[in-house]
Amino acid sequence: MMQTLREGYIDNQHPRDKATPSGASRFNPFTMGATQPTTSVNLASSFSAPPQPFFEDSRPSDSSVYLDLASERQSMRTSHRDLEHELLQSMRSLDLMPKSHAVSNEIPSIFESVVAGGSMAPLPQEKQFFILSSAGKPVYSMHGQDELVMGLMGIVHTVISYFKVHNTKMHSIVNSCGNHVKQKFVFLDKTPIILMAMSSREESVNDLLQQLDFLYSYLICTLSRRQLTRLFSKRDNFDLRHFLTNTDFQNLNHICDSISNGFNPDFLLGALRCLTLRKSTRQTLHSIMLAQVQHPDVAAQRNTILYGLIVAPGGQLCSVLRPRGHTLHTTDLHLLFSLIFNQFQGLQDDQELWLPICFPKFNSSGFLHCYIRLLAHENPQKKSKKTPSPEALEASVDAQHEGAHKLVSSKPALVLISAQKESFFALKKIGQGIVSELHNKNLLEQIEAASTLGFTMADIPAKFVHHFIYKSKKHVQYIMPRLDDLDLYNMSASDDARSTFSANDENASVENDPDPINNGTSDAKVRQKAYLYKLMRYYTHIRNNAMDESGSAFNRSTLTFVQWSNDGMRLNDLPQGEEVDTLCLAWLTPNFELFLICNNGVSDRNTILKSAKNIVDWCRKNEDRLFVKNGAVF
Amino acid sequence: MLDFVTVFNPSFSTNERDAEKQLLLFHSFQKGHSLSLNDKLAELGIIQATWRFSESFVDSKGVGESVLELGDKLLCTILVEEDFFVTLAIELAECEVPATYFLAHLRHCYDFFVLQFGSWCNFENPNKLTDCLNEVLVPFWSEMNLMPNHIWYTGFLSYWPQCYKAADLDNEKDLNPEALPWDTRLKQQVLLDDASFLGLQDILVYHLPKPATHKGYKSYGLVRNFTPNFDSLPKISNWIEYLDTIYTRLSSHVIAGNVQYKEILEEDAAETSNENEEQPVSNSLMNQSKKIYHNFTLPITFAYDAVQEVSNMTGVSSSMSLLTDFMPKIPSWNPWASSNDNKPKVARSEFLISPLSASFLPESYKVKVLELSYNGVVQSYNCLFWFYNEILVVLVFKKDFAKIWDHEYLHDIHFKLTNCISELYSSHLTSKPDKPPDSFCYATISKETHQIRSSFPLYKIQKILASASPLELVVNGLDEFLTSGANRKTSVATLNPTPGPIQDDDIVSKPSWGLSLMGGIFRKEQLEDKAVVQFDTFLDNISDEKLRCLHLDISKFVNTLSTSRRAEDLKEEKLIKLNNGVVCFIREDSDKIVILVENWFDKRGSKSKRVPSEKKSLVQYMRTDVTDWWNRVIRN
Repeated sequence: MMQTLREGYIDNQHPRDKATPSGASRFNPFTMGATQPTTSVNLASSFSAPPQPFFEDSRPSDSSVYLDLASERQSMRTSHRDLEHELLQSMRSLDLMPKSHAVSNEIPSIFESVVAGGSMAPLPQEKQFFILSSAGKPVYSMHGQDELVMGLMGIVHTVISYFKVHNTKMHSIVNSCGNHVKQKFVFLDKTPIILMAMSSREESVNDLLQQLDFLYSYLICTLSRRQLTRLFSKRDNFDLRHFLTNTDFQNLNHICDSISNGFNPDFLLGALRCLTLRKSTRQTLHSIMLAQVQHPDVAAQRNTILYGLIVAPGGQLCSVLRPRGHTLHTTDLHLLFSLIFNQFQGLQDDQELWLPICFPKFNSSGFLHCYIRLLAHENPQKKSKKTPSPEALEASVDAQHEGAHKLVSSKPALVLISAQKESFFALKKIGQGIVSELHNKNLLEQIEAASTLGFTMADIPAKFVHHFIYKSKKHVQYIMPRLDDLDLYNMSASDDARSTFSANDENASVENDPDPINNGTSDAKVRQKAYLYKLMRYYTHIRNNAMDESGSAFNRSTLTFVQWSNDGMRLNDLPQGEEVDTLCLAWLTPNFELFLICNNGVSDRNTILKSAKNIVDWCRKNEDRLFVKNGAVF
Repeated sequence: MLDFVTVFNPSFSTNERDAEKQLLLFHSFQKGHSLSLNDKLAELGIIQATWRFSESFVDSKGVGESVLELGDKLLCTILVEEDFFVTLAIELAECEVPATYFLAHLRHCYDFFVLQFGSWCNFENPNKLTDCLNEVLVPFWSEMNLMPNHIWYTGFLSYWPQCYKAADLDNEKDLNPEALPWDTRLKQQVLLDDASFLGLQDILVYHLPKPATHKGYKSYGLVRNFTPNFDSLPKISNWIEYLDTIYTRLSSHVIAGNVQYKEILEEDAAETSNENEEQPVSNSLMNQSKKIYHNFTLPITFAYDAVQEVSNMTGVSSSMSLLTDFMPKIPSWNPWASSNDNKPKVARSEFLISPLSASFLPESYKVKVLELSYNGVVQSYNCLFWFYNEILVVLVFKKDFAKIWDHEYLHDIHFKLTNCISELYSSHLTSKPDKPPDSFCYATISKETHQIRSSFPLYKIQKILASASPLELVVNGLDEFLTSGANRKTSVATLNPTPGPIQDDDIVSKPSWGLSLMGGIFRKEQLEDKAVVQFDTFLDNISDEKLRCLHLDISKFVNTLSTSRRAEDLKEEKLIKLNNGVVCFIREDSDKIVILVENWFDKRGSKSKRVPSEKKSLVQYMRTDVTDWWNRVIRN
């Protein structure tokens, strides 16, 4: 059965080549040539990839992911693909494959998995979020039937009130069995709202607290603190559910799901992902924005605009326009980006949004007004047309023509923020100016190219590194190489970027699709999702090895290596999966944080340390390209 | 620091009206305000509610410990015997103690109770259980409250409360190849001897050194036991370690359970300060004598008589104040205080708890009954305690073995034990004077045998407590009075087979040690000649505060093991390097946990190139002596 599935998606391989824009390398800020992974996998190693698909791995949930995705892909690249494939198949069926091999470019799954349905608990999920009012009224719960959840929230309410009477607050419950922490409950009391997170995963108390803070920020973002207090000041037992809209609940679901199952270094690191652009490109973006703001017409009306942002898909920051001495909090930006890329992707290119949003960390009791416009770059053949209005028209027609195609990939967005309710037209004007300048200078094309391409491990002289995350503490931004495996199996490349804030309900519908051609894609998507989730768990684990429960580093600077490898005891009767031997590194200093995952089978610490140093050097050297340093300050 | 400790069993209450039946013990450490029954039940209700609440979620199976963190409080709960909850509430101070430390002590406290009174579910009458709990749990935690530093004592080793420390002795193998090793001799001469055969269940040999001339924790702990499948070994070992550390030394009183720290009453303190100028010495002694009454849980008459007798001996009848005259005459407490003393050290060995003790003493001085489990069968055993310098031997006798009441038999055992243990001393415990301290510390925790082998120094109870706590003085003082000089008759352990001269010597120059002192040295500050002190490891001479922080750091590292969600068949290794010089290697696999610490500022022997071992492990990036140790100890 697995076999047919595999063949299904292999057949879907063909169109993948055209997914890469032809002139892509032109826009790559790192003119290093090849953008293939640095792993030492070649044809030979893809042959020796273990015969995974024919047995269930001991860690069932990951068995489908366990496939050596990248080596698969590489084998596909060869001209004698079919022949090779047959050979591979026959070798597998005979089980002639070597049991262990040197280096693979997939990372093994190393985590225990909760067997679905194995738990008798009423709420068998690994993660749970509760939001309730201080009077005990349920507001939101991630899982669970209403009747059950209501009872549990009643307990939370009682316990919290009990401690409140005794002039103290409940922070957390950590339950353990022997030496293993089993469950963590973290509570955040933001009267009149109480939030609770439960996790049986590896997250620290501080991680959970950050997640709760984000959920709370979302509520404030839509309601504002002032309104929230007012609603509850009249009646303690006000039912907030009647006040929140359906979209709000969808968004909460999105957020919870992307926190729990998505690939979200943003939340983990408390930083923004930054789009890699040439220094000159970013400079141009900044000067365009600045020019529009400092235009005599605009400058006359002071305080019209507070902030301006250009964001690439996946919340990758391209440029910032800000007043001197002011910045926006990371959480606020996360919220904004999550709204744009979850809620407003259906926006037509000529549509604009004028939206009041409360930025909880900026001012939790007032609203700012956001002008949001998606930036779709026009098709090359239409470039000649200069007049803006027919262009927009054409673009929308185009969008209709290309239909689903366009809808799937997300677009960059322009956000202008003002404190004044009635300054829409002023901002619209600035926006128009910026957009037409972007079009004139072909910058959108560059942004899109950069957001699909990014950089890869091949751009950095770091041997044996599978993937890394580098966070610059000064900029509160992080970067990571493009998740290269992503455009495997005919996936739209931008999924990489989108994954950050995307929820996965589309998967469900695709999975039920009876069309056999789609099966391959959905299978790949499931794998992709599992791969990303696995990566996320890796990073959470690595980070835990350099930080304590309260979220502070073990020391001013800490260097941690973690290695997972097969224990001595193994059952010899069963076919063995790949030998697990994974080395990871966490390196925290006052200036940066580096988390790094090596290829499986690499265990030479010194080489890895050298690679890590190279990465740090590289990141410092290319700081101008990798991070938005100052932004356009006015 | 502590708020309250409570024990309850929800299954004892069957309906709404008898909720108070579930409450077995509730002891508040807060002075001055007492909780009503309703308040107490409310606390229990909350603890229970959070516990039951957790059970609605995944992974709640097998949860045995819960830590509830509040703004200013910590509620640590453990579940024992399926439905007994033990909860300790701690008020958080500025310096944050990891909750694991409290959980470990809760576990230990329960274990010590079971050791002495058996499982809680075996009590048919809850009132009886309450009485016993009062007897064990309340003093345990009261003392902890008085000596908050004791919480820190075991440091990161608290993560494994079910494990016990075993001694790592230097193996001087070919000292005397013909002679039988000491343990074989012990087994043949004592355990399998006709006289004790089948009556003597087991012999436990502990090495409990005091930091005098040799600092280090490596050789501390259980040296040997003889009967396999001794399930209670961790419990009894931890109990002995606990007694030895909290009371700074093991004496008959300590083992018999008659010593206890108690806080000085505030009025007393006030009085002292008022009258201090006039009669400082006598007044403090008055306080001391009060303490004798307050703190000694012996029948009061015993304590009183003892003091009276001392008074009589010195020719002073009932005037307590004159006891002060007696005090200064007592020579140094430290038997080896003058380490330059050329006289050969005389090994001291005696029974601490045995039927040989004075007849007027309570039963607990004659035999200690412990509930021990061999092969899963729990039974009462009569235990006798015997020491030889720093070696403690516990003789576990079957309950029905009547020979222990025979003095001849005991004298015989004493003689044989002296022989074997002195052999142990000469073969394993003679420290080589010029051995440099290790440049690293190790700890290995075996999951199967529950043994901890470790060379990490532990955070010592601060000296302040040894000299300034009024209670400490009382306990010491009483020992002093009881044992010094001619008062031999009332001495508790009267057995002293070594004839004549030494005894005389004792009387003239030293106090006799029969009653109390196990390891001898207890006032470390008397030790002025620092150069003589030998260290096991490089960490043995760092300051207490630094040591505490180091333990705290390692606790954090170890904590990462407990939150790790790796699959079961994987082993996890980590190498953590901090910029303060600490390099820590941790490895956990299916059968053991290894923790190694070194200082990377110290470059000795670290830079030499070596051939990488065939099996790659992060430990090879530590210094060569670490890898040597690794190859010797772990890989074999």
